[in-house]
Amino acid sequence: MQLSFKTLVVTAVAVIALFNAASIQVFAQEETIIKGKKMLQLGENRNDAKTLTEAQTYFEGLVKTQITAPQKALMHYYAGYAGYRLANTTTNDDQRDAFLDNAMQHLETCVELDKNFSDGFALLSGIYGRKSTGMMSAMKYGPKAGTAGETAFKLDPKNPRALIVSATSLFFRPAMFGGDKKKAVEQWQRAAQILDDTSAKETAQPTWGHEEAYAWLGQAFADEGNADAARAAYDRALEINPDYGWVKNVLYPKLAKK
Amino acid sequence: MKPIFFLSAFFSALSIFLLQSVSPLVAQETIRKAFLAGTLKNSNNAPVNFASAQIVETKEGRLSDKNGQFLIASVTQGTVTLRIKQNSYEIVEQIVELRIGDTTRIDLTLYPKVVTLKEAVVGASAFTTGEIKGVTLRPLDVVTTPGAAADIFRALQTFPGVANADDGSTLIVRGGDANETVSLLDQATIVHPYRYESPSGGAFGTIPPFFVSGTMFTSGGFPARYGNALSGVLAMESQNIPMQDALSLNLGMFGASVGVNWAAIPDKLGIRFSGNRTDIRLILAVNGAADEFPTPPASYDANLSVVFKYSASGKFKLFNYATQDELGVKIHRPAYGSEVDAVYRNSSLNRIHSLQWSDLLDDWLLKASVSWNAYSGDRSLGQLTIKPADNTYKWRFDAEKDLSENFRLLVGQEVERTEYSLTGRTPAQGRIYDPNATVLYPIDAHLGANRWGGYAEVETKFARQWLLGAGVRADYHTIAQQLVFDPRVSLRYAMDEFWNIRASWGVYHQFPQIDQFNSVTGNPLLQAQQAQHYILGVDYQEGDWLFRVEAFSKQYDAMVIRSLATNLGNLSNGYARGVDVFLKYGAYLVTPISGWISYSYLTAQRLQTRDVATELLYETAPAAYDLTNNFTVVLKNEILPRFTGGFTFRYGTGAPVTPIVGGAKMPDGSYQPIEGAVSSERLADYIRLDLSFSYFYPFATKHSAVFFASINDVTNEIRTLGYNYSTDYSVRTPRQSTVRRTLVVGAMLSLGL
Repeated sequence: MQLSFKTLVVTAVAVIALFNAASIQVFAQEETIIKGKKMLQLGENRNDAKTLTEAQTYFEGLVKTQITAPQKALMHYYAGYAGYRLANTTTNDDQRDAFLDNAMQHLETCVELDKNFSDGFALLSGIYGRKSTGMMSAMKYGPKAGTAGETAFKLDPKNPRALIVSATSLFFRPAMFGGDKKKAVEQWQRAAQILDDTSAKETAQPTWGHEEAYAWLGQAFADEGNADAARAAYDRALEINPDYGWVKNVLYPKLAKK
Repeated sequence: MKPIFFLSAFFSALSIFLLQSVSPLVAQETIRKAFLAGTLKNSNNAPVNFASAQIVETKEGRLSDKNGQFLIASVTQGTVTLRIKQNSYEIVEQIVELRIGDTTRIDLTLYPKVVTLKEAVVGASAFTTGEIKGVTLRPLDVVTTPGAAADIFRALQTFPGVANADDGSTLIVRGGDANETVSLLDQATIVHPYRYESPSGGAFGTIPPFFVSGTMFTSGGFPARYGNALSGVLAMESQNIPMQDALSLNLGMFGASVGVNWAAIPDKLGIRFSGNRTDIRLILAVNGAADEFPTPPASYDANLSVVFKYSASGKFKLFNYATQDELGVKIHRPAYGSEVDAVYRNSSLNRIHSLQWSDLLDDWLLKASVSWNAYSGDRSLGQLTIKPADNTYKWRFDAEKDLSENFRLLVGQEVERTEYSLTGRTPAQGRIYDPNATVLYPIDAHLGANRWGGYAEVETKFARQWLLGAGVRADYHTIAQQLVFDPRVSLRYAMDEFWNIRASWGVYHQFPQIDQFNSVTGNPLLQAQQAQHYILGVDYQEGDWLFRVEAFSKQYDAMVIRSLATNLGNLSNGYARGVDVFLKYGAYLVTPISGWISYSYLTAQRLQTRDVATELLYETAPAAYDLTNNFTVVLKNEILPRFTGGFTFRYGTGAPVTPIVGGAKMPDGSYQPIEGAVSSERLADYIRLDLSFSYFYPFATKHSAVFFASINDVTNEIRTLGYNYSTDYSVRTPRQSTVRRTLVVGAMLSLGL
């Protein structure tokens, strides 16, 4: 079959148009997610329940759009991440539990939709960990947290957020249940190192944790009695994110009081 | 193309303009600062990251990066101190010169930190329990020790240096007597640390393990903060504020208990209450020993403690505890005038009240307490009746401060007031069991004494691998009217992160028991007894493994023994020498298998008395607890998820006994014993195997149940505890343990509220 010049031109134009449309769609999705991530960041910086709830609603809305399963998984991830951070905004145990339960649902759906999503398993592990508040709940959620964490590392051994979540659990878990502060510090340091070496460019994929790794390290240093290192770690966290409310309004003043 | 070219040219021009405008500002900002650039390497020339580099004067600092490099932009200039800190390395301080606009460069080598004063126990022979880093055992390891019946004292008996002497819970430390080890709770002295008390100890510890959050037990070489103890110290800390409401119920063949934890104001005010009824009638019936106990051993106890946290560091702890026990046991064909069995009866009430305050003020850790321990007992054997009672009031204050990273100061002071009374009646010797005995001597003794004590200690890391603890204490006793000084020194050399060599030396004084000062059967002129400890040991701790070996020598002097002239006198001396070995692996429910092995070799001699009718001879011979070899294995295994089984095997060389080889008839018809050579015989070796199994069942998120079963003394060993003699001492029969193999089952229910 011989194609006429006109047919070729029309086909080429159609292909280019289609390619451009796809690119624009991808671009639009990334922009959409980055917009939501900025809301999350703002809420986290201010520890503001209203902004975090708005971000969660935003991602829950995106879940309902016509997107692929991995993309849906990502929207559930961010909706769950909002819930994970919302749990920090309250001192009421019931409310905190409700936020974590909601986050847990999102993350369980997330890893169901994308079984290769290391960050999903890492965050789910963190949520299970935070549900383990007593001996009984530790019996229920402890093994789940361990399995989810192991899966996260299996999928991506260098996932800095999996390291942060694992370190946090090691740091606060009583020694009788395998807690190990020294190992926790090593993992936070590794996470900070990996994120130091990672491009700061914002993408649709999870990028949180850089300033948080330093904030945790600062707390660990303060706990060891090394105020110099704690201060330097907090400085580094604020260098990464000058609006990071946790360090600026909570951890730094606490250190100054000592 | 023209519009594009125009736009491009416009933006270029704008950029140049902006750069030209901003550059002087940037340059000025840069010039106003002095830069300090450094590289940190360790002794292997590898970069050290995450070290803080800080200018001490301005607190400006940075963390080093993966190349070990840091850059501090400082607003100051001149001579400053750069301090480098990283937890794994020794601190480095270096004087540097800074100049505005210049960069000072510095390369430093860091050396690994092998020991810190913060975490270190300087002295030797210490065993700790609790939930903090570096402890020997966690509370869960203690209460799950097979055969220990969830008793702290019995669990401690599995440590080296503590003898496997009998089935009781008495802490016999490195050849010393039971009263050479002092027990403390929140700084208060527990004057009667045993239940079902006897002169040589008791069957169980007074303080149940669930009241205690941590313990420090030392079998020698302990520092100056602990006084009036010759051989060992058991210091316990009561539970802290409950974090959540909980209810626990415990039901077993030994009795029942209930416990309530109430977090009244979370993290501010917490209340704990517990009540316990122990009654082993069912155990005795099942195990066929009920006939031996006309009054089966039974006890009640109740505890109410309140913790009030008034600030992040300050709190009050009010601890109240009362325990009452009773027992009646048959004494088969005892000497002193009976050809039939007799019954020994004992009941006691022991109350402990303590109020402790602690806070961190201006970096001083302060603790003060007032306590009251009241005890009353009622004991009878035939016509002999004695009712001892004592009240001990104590004030104690401790303060410690880390004056620098490598220097700690500890000071403290205590006042202990003991009031003692002994009432009752005793017939003439030889007529204890005679119901018609008319010669009854009334006993009515009352004594009161104060002991004032104070100490000062320093702990210092004086070189990279060396720690030193040195202190002195002084004690004054109002009856003895004697002031004693005890200097003590401990040295620790950290070979590396895991291996340590420790040495301790110290002088230890202990005043006689207050009843020994009475003028009728005791001696008001008694003075303090003395011991000197020398200890040298090596230990290794890495991950789940702990290994320790220690050689010790304890020299006794001015020990109280009987005297014909003065009833009692500071006439005895002697020594205890030996080696303790301890190997531990894992932790209960953390590793699938956990346990420890203890071995002790001991040789102990004392100057002792020997009754030869109306004469009293003195002989140096093996001490009462010269138990040459002690060997203990404790092993626990998680057989199935949450189902754990374990055993404790204990072996101890038989205790020395002095045989009675005959009797001398007295004018009133009674017989006085004629003893053979002191400690010339030994009881049979002590061998015991205990098994235990437990199943942990959590349910409905907050609740759990533990089902447990234990078989104590599996081999059903017939154990000779001593000898009974006929009235004229011509016939000797062994006195044997009444309770041997026992099966105990029970369940504990914990409900989160």
